[in-house]
Amino acid sequence: MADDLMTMLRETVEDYRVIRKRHGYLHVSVPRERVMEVIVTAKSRCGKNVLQLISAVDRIERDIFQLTWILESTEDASIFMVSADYPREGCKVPTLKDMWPSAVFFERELREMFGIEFPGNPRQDEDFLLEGWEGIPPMRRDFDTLEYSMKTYGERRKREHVDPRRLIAEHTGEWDTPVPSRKEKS
Amino acid sequence: MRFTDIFSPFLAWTRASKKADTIPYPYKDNPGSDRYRGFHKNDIEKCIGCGRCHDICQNEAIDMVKVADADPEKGDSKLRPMVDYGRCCWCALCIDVCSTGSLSMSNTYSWSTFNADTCKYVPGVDSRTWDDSEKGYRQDNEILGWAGSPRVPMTVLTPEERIKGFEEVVKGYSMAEAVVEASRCIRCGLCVTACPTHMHIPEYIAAITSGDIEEAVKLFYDNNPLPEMCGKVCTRQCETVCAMGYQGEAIAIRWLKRFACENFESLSEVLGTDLEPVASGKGTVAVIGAGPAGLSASYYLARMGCDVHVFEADDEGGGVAQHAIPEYRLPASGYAKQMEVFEKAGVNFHYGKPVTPGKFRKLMKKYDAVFAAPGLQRSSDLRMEGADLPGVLHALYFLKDDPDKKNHDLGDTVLVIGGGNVAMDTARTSRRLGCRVIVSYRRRIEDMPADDEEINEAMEEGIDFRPQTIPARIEKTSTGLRYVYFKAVMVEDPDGGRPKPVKESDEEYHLDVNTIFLAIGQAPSLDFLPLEVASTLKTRWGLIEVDENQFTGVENIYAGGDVTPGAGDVVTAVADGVRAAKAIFRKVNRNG
Repeated sequence: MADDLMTMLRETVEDYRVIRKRHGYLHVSVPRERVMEVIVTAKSRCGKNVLQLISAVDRIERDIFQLTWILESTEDASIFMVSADYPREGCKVPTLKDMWPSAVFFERELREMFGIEFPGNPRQDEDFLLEGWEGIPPMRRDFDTLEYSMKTYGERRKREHVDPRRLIAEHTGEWDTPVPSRKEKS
Repeated sequence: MRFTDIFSPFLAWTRASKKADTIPYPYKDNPGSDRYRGFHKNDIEKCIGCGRCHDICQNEAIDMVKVADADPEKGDSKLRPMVDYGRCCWCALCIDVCSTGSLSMSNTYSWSTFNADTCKYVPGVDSRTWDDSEKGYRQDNEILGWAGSPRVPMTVLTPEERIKGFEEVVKGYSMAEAVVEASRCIRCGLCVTACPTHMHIPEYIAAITSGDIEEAVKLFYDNNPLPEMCGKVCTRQCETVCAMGYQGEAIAIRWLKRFACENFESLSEVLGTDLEPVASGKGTVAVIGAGPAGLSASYYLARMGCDVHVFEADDEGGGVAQHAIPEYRLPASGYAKQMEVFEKAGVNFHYGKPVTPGKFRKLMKKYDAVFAAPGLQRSSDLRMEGADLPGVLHALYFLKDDPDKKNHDLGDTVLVIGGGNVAMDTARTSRRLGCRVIVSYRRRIEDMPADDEEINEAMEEGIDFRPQTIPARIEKTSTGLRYVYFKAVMVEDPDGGRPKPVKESDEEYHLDVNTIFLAIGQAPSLDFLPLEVASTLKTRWGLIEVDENQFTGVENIYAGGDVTPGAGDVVTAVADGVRAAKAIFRKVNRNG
């Protein structure tokens, strides 16, 4: 029988924070210095033997990437999620390729979509989906989709937008005031 | 070579009866999942063309376009979103923010065309095969918490506190509350389509959001010189069409206007140099009546440089709105502040000067134009046995006679006949004077012409509503009056009008009361017109008919306000005054 996750966390890392907990599901946040230790222990002691996914969220307001490793146990299909915050600039995260070979692909995807580096992953610079992508990775929040569209595809032809506010003003004649309006003065 | 190798080519044939593992050809449809974000759909009847989808779109994929060249209507810009799939990134923010929830996505994701420029359409207007698709992404209010975007609550007196006196019920917003409320506005401008005088609502709300309250007040005066009055008693048609009202609560436009005005001790100081005449107009104009319509016309004519003289029968301006609406809704305190603006703008007031036919002839001769806005002077009579008994009073005259200051002896129990705002005002005033109050109305409560807000507040104050009661007669008793009535049932009008109340049976019911108020409507009094004018004017139901410039069609006479057909509220009268001012100015300055 695998060890209880909560016991393991208490013994391994004191300053963890439970984000959500219900039967067969636990999501915790830990300091980034301890995240590898928690994952290794969860695999070896608590039977979390599958790496389902590594995900990242760009929390640009706090200037961090929030990474989440989703582990699963084949024994009882229970889920364990570990999150940790990393600084956005020059973000470097340890690789899990030696524990789960499949991590190579998740990490390549994150490298491509967010620019997060995984030193130690020999294939991290290979194209994953975006062949020949240049410039700022597209899933970063500071990626300007409009600018990209304009640059890559150019102006779309035959488009015209009617601003509802302006149309209503013209139709109702609201600025055609008896005395010159504020708008004309400003 | 092994023995089995001889047979292995034939073993492949055993697969022939099994299902192929490869992608079948011709390709089969592979639908998206139930909440897939595919091509857009739009419920065109629900869409109001507020343009919020356009505003949120990070890729500028959405244009608002004219459909069938339709012009904006009240509460609908008639523009509809066109989605350009050369830009759309399927983020579905447009769906999430849709004011009415009309925009959604189907789960269809494939569409082939030879010309990329045709890869756009107006959902709901240009028909597509996925229009009827039940699946796909929808706005989900439970997830977004969007439907519950409430307005900043207004502090009001409790019903118990209210009936103790004539203190104003609504307390108004603080600066912080007003800014939060104003920041909910999405600046679509649909409110402007509903406002009779087309105030610059999104602009003044934006000014309040940024804390520039002076600018907001200046924007009010562009087309409404009675902003504080409107800020308190406007019928706020703007709020009925507010885009935010579809899934949450409409922006408190009226209360924001009220806040901006109450923020200043003096409005004329805020306006400052704005009050100087802006055009070197010429001509003289006589305005009959200093109610909202007359004031509005006189303000703009004076600002344009005309010599304006207002003749008012009463001792004060403001009309029935200022003097018949009770103190707890429209306190007198805002009156002087607003009137000062008119005087500073150069309007000449002549109070206590009722206009007679003889005087009217003189005005027509002496002035280049006459704007008649006398309002509705008479309270309608109820033609019924006992309606002339002592103790049967006209609600309108009672309200005008300062019931908050003078001692009116109404007895213990008061009955009000009618269902409009005058009836509500009278009932609530009587309640404040300590009476038990009953309201008798022929139709149902939902048919009452009074504002819902007034009806609700009256109910909270303990006023007893007797809807569907048809008056039969009033009798005199030893202690007071007996109101005899029939009960009514509502019968659908075969011509499609509103349901009519019809006597349920001949059974009579009665109520013993002390005072009965008649509040069944008001009528104009055109006695001030000389016969030769009255006979040439076009009238309907005793009201003066005018064209879109408030022109009566007779010589130099214009008319507006309650004496012309219309909604009969303050802002409609103000709008009449604005239109009349423009037309009169054009007329008297045409040749020079």
